Amino acid sequence: MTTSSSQRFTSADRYLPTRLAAWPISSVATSRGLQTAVEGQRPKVALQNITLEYKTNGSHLLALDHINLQVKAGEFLCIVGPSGCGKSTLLHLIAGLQQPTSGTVLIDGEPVHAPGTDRILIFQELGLFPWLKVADNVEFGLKMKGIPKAERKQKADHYLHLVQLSQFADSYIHELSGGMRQQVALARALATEPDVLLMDEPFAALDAQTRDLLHDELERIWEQTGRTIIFVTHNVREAARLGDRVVVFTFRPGRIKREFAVDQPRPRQIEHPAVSQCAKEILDELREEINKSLEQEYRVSS
Amino acid sequence: MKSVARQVTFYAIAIGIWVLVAHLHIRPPYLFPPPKEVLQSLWAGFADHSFWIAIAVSMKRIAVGYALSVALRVLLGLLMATSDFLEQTLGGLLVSLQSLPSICWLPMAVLWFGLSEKAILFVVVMGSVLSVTISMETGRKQMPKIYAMAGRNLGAHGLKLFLFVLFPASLPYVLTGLKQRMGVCLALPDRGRDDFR
Repeated sequence: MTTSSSQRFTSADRYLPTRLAAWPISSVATSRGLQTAVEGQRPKVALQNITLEYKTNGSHLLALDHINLQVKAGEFLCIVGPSGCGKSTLLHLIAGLQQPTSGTVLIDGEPVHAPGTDRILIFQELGLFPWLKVADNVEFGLKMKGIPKAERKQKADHYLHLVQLSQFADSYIHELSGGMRQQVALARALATEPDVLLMDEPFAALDAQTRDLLHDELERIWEQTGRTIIFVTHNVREAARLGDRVVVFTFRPGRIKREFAVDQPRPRQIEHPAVSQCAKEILDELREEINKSLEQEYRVSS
Repeated sequence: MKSVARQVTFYAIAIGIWVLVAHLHIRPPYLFPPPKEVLQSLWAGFADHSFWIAIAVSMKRIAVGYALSVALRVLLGLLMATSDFLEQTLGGLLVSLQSLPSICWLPMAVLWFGLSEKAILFVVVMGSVLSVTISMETGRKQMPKIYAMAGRNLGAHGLKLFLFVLFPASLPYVLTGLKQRMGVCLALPDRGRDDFR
């Protein structure tokens, strides 16, 4: 594990001078800076040598290859990668919905074996329950915990207020717009008061204006609640806009290719030149992997 | 308006043919009575309350039979939902049994329960419970996997997962099956009764 992380940071060091020159406002943290930050406190989430292999009809598909990653409490980490790099799968592993072939997921140093409400995953398709009203959706996790009705209602009210959907408590999901559904999913996840929020391309299906708005909202809510967020996206601008740190994944098998620290003051604007510049740097790193994934797709389809 | 006129004409002609055939005496009147006699019998049946009683008895059978089969199939569905072993063994048996037309249970019902209310109930329940259990199972499999994952993710498991997530999520798929079998429940008591006469 130490070997792998030191390798990672060495590669970051190698890029450091040019990066600082090309990217004066934001900066890539030095290896020492990142490591001391992680050593200063036990990481909230630690992935140790996570490998995931699918076996189908005798053929093996390596989806994730020795992933080592540490996330600090309260950190906003973005993972970018081409489709098929296993980044969503990684969230399922952290959520405990799926087990790795080898390696360990640690939360506060404790290994994860099953789903738990200390880490809630917001799915790309959201998975809101259409048979429940908005408030009941938000209360669902609390109901499963056996929390009494009055307390549930109070918490649901609080988090619906936080996402500014109080007046829609009695609506059904199908009555809401795409952006509002996102907010309900966020409120439902927050209501169980998880330490870690796992978000799987949550804004991918939204129009650009709604997405910008939700970026602001998410940043505000993250700062108010102090949760640790691991946010998977294929949108590099989104990653640069939101993340404290951005991890780039390789195409199949998923490995960590590079890490970027985004050292921009908040609240950020997606149009800010420094954010755009940062996005460009990440995209340069990612492009090679996107090409690989397209190549593969072309080969499969032809 | 045009369609109403068409239907009136159609039924007028149909009744006309009925009257005509009855008056030709191809069959004796007790086998093929004219409409007038059928109406008189119908009136007499309602007038001496015997039809009302028969309807009430049939409705009671439907209610009891349907309630019993709903209870049974929720139990079976629950068992199969929670255990892969039961789904593969019991599930397989149910699939093969459900292909039997429900009237096939009648001889067995008569042998086991005699000419009784129990026998009729048995046929009603057998007729609807199997195929609905199957359609519930199919419903559970057809429903988007995301609901089960979201439920587990929010801390639901075991019975809670079934009651609060799997069951409501599969309901739209199951409901089609339930509606369909309601018709069978309605048809069966009468079919059964005719066979007992």
